[in-house]
Amino acid sequence: MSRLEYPLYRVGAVVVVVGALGVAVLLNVSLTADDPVSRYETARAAIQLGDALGFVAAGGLVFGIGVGLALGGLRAYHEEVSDR
Amino acid sequence: MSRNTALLVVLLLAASLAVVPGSVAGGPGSVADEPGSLSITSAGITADYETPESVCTGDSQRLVVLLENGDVVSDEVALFEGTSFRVVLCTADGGESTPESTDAWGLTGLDAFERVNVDSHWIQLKATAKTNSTDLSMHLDGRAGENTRAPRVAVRSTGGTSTGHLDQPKTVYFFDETARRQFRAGRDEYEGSVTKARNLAKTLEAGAGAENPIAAVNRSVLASYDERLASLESASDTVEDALLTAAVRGNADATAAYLEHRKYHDKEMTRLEESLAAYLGAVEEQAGTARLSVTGVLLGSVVVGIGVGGVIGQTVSLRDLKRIRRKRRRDSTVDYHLGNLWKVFLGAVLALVGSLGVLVAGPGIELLFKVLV
Repeated sequence: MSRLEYPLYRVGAVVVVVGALGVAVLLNVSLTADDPVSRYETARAAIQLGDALGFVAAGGLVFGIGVGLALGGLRAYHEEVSDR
Repeated sequence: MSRNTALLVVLLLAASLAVVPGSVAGGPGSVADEPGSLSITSAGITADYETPESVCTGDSQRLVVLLENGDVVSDEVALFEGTSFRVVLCTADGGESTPESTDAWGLTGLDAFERVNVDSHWIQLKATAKTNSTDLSMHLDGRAGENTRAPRVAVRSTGGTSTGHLDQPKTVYFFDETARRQFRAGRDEYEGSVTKARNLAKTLEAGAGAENPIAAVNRSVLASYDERLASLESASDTVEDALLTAAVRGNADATAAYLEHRKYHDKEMTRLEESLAAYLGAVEEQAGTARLSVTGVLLGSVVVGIGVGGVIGQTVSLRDLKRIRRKRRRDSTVDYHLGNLWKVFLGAVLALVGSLGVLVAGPGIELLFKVLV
């Protein structure tokens, strides 16, 4: 089995998907202590983050572009090297 | 054995001993002999009154006071208000002392005592008012003037203290002023703690029902929760200890008050705990909605970004790689390597730094950390 059967862009895509799932889980599961103040603080942080959706969307978009650039480049590399 | 179980055992024991057959309810106990030195006897904990036959000895006529705890008094005694006792007249007409039938004698003109029961050989009185010292022989009717020795009985008032904070208040007698003061201080502190706890519960309940629960209650209110809870527990312990002390000394009402207090305290604790649970539930529900929105927006924007970035990255890279291909046709030493993709990699790094910058400038890293961890 050659190295190209596991092209980097696919490995990268898998890493991105797993990472995204991890972040989604962390965003929705609180790991803090059980005391009232900690629960209140965590909930308040989530609500404040929800109030800043514009920044979240912009940050996510720019982050996605960065990841897309790398994955797109790797895919082009894979196609080019496979064709030679 | 838990603390509560141990207390309950003590209480039940005290309650069972406190109800002495033949006694009159409400008697908090007695102070034995020697007026001035209030040595406390434990009325109700010992078995019962002595019998008239067993206390009549000697060869003179005398009145004898029998206490509920089995004590026999022939000289002086100080009793607490509410205490019951029996009086026996021992006569020695035939040389041998025997209890005289109550048909032949009586006690009259006793302002501080109420006659509550009469048997063939004894009269039962209850101390109803404070008095310094009463010589019972001065109130003997029927055999008066026969040189009768009699004990002097004083009545001390400790006053009952109401457990007014309870739904069904009881009057509890403490056997010394220190215990009574401690109870009153504990009760007042407890009432203060209950008021604060109720205010906190009300705030939390209102917050739970508010449209925007997180804005309805300050963090400092939540921070005071543990303190309120500890204060309520501590004040309750003081009250319970005082009631237990009174209960163990034989005051049946103290036993009832203790049990009533436990019920009352449990109710207050439950309300406080439930109000907190309701409020945190409402806040976490509000946060759950926000979390879902953040997740959706974040993942959605990342997917869109990947799509856009992917097209750009692939287009730019293909153009550069075709340039390499053309070079390879002219020069066989030229080969592909990942460094050919430096433009997209640089763009990716800049984008990642940029996204971090946006998040720092917006919600802030601390907030993200709080939500994620």
